Amino acid sequence: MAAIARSPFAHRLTGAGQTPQNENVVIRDLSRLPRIGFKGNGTTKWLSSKVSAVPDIPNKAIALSDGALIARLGKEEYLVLPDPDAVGNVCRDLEASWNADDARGERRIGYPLPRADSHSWLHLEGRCIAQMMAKICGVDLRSERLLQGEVVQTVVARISAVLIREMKNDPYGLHMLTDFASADYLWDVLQDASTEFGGGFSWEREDLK
Amino acid sequence: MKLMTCPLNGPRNITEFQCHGEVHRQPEPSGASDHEWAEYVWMSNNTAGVVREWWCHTPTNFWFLAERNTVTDEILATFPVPADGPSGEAS
Repeated sequence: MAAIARSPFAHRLTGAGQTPQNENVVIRDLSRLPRIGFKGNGTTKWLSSKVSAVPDIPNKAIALSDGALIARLGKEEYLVLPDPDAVGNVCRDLEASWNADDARGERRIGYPLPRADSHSWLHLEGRCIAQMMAKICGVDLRSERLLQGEVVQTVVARISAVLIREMKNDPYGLHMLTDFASADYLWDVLQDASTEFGGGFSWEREDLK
Repeated sequence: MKLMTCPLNGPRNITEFQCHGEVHRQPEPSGASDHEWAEYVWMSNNTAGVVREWWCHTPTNFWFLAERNTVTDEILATFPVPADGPSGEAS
């Protein structure tokens, strides 16, 4: 299963919706969208045969033609995120493809990681994201230091996080994947950190389905 | 903030890392005497000076080696474990 039924932030997304006062910090919960990872010996070779390209070094991400992101987290570890605005079948197709290859007895193709079950997924966008993150993360995420498509694996507010700079330059956007079970705590941290900039979480009633 | 340079991820806050102790060469399990094996499992040198240690960058679970002065706590070098070389030898 590449998607989950309920976001770990679901109990916080209540009422008719919420929109931040400005565009300095806008945080959206994408946890209900599918995502998948692959890891282990042979993963690079296997994944390269399934998609048009993979990043050539760790801590880089590339966008496929359908907008999906392929982030390379290690020598033999990848994370696949669909385009949030046009979710295709990339995760489902890759999972099915791996299952089929595995069932055929193929070896050294790595193994799938059910990232939807392990990591929450937030999208942070706006002019003050790097400033806000400086309060809770030790890595310099300013746009001139963290270029589009660069990946940072670090600690945010004392929990491990994968940060991926979006491909587009303006506005600055960041995907943040963190421990699923710490979502409730993370919500409070981000609300607190973003209040200074007049920002916060954004959702609509339709998101609550 | 004290920094350590991860060979995979670059400079990071030292709190992102865990030290897993000195590098020991594992004796051949089938040929080692009980004394040699106990020495390997239980004993450490506790050297005052430059030692080579295992470290792990916990957000990525990336294991690597570091040379650290245990007297000054200065980290002198970090390097990945070469895939095809003996453990503890810089590539």
